[in-house]
Amino acid sequence: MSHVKTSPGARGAAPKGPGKALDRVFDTHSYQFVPPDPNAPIVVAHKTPSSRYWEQRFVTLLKRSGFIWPWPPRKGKR
Amino acid sequence: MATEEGEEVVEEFNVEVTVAAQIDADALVDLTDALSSAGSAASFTDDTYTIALTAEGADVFDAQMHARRLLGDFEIPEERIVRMTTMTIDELEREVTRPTYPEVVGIAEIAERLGVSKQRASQVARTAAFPKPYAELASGPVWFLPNVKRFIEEWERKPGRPRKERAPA
Repeated sequence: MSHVKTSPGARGAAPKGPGKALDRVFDTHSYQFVPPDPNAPIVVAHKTPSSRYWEQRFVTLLKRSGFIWPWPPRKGKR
Repeated sequence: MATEEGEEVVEEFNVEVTVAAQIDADALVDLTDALSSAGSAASFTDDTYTIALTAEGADVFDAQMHARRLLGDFEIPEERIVRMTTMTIDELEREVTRPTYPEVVGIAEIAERLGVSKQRASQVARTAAFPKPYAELASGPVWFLPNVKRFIEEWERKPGRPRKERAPA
């Protein structure tokens, strides 16, 4: 069963901002992140109620693909 | 890890496995789906893919063995595994909260931290003891915050206007 589809030219359609980069596709539990950098890994994940530490893992992979985290960046003020 | 009574305590670990092989996006999603009870997430490039999941064990080595068993059901070629990283869940949480960008400050933030005007902060930033900027942007230099914090801790504030040095006669 496939939940995520990488549409042709998905990399070419660079997301306009971090909020746009995270796609929810096909059903409510599968995610795909196509980073603007064509050399960075595409991230996929599938969540079920029994998934443990899924969010942390997903965010870690997103960060490695160039996702800016946390968003928005903190200001340098105290 | 064992309790004082000698019982083995099984903990959860985050294991990431990178395989040097091509994989179709749909196949990788099917794999994460099948491993969803282990909280699997994955990423892929043209020639590698990485699967991250929860594995259990008494220690990191034990957890790696568990992860290999979990992945063994999916015909992942072990000889193509090029990287395997195992960490505690606490370490995973720390990695998640670590920002992906350097914390930088400009003159305005430095002035605020020093409790001086921006003009005075610029003067201080030009002294030899002040750290070198992290980057020089068109809008001005920015500094790496930890370096600025260390400077402020060690900065000996001298009250009053600095004396003008007289030229030698």
